[in-house]
Amino acid sequence: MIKANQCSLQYKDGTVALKPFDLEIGKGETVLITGPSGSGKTSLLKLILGIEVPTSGKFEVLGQPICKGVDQDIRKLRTQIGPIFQDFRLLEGRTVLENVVLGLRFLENSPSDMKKIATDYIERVGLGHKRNQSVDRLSWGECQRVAIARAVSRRPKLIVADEPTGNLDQENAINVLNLLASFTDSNTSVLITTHATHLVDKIEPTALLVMHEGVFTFERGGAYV
Amino acid sequence: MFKGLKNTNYYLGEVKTIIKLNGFSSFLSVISLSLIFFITTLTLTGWWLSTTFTNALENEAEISAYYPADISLNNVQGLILEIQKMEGVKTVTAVTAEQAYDKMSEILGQEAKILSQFDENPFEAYLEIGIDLDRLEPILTTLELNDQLEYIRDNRTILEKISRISTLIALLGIIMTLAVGISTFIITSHIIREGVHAHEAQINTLQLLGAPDTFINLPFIIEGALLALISGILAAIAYLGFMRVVGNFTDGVIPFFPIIETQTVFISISVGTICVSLILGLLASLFGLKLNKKK
Repeated sequence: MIKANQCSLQYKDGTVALKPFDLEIGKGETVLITGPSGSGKTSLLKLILGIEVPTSGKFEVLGQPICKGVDQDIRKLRTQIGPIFQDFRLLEGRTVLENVVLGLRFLENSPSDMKKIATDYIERVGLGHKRNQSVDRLSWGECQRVAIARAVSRRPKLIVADEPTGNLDQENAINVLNLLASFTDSNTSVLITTHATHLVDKIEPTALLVMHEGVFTFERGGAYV
Repeated sequence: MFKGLKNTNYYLGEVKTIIKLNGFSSFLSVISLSLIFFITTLTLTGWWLSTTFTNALENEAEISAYYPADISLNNVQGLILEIQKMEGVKTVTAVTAEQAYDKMSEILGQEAKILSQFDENPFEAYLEIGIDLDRLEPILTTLELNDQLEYIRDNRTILEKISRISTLIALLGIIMTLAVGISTFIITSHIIREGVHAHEAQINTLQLLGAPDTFINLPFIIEGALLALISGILAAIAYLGFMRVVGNFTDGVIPFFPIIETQTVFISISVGTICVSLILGLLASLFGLKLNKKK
């Protein structure tokens, strides 16, 4: 799913976000990445989504090299990823259903399938009764579940969630992490970043990676770093 | 094709949302574009009318050639045949002194009584030569060299003025059409850029979800084309209404003006404006999106 070989990332202003690292994440894994703010978690997600390209080394996602000059390929790659953003990035003024359907519109689905799939996933995140309600009137936690439904309804090969537990109390945070982990199957991997290290023991990730100042410190799991 | 059509409702919904979000700006843009298109229709009409008018006058372009009073009828006939053979000469008619008198009486109308002050007919017989205006110079040169002709009245100043006015109006028409094209382009592409700017976050999200550029851009292209089309339709309606009112006022005011079938032309200009507005809207939207992409 994800392969990194001596990959590093340095921003234009000189900030070193990720020091050279090797990484390999396989199919069907749930990987939790923790670390304090500014440790490089979001930078790693930016690499995965092709928002940034490595300064040195090689980085591959689902077999697609992340490098300059492959914009169209990266756009195609993103259709196989289900991203859950920290700020959700839901479309204001649209209903829950419209937001979830939006993620499916440019995939290979017929209009009736799109609605059916979206409704199914909205039910699975527990918002079936609010599917026709505008996202503007939802609570923070409900918006997050819409974002999850939008990401997972695309049946992606890789789900990436950036700080999905931020601002949540422990119980809700665990619920969200477990909900995300529940979408893992033999073909789908889930990558979750969180600075809430105290939650790590509450779920059972395949691997746990800890980051600090752009460096990976392997904590638990298979041979990843 | 089918794949693209499945999102038609989404695209139309997005266009509605984009226009609604930029409501006031969109409204002002439609008004500006409508006025621009309206002025263009008037310019085009002026261009067309003046061209038709000058063409009609050019077709009536005549030279009067005077011959000596003592010349025999046979010689006049010979002269007519000789002139008829010249390139650019359409007609040659012999006008007697009496016919010349009657013509002037007709032109003067009520003022024709002044002619009765003359004891004798002050007019002379002459040859009325209808010519192709483009051949004015060589015809005049040949006629001036003809010994049997005493005097040539060429109306050159008037004919040249008509020709100049015709060129000037054509030039004005081209400049106006260009100005309209550029203005529409600038306004529409600016609307699109504004729309894209207002939806930056949404566009960014769609890009991160892997949406292709066509999917992201299409609502903006439809928006630009739609606003321009609405403007074109409004301008066409206003134009047809205006021409009807003007037509009622000017009907019969200019009796010497050639009879022209205006209705077909007015409708053609209206339909043309609507089509051009749609095309300009599409092109300007694409241009606006391209500028944004570069940015």
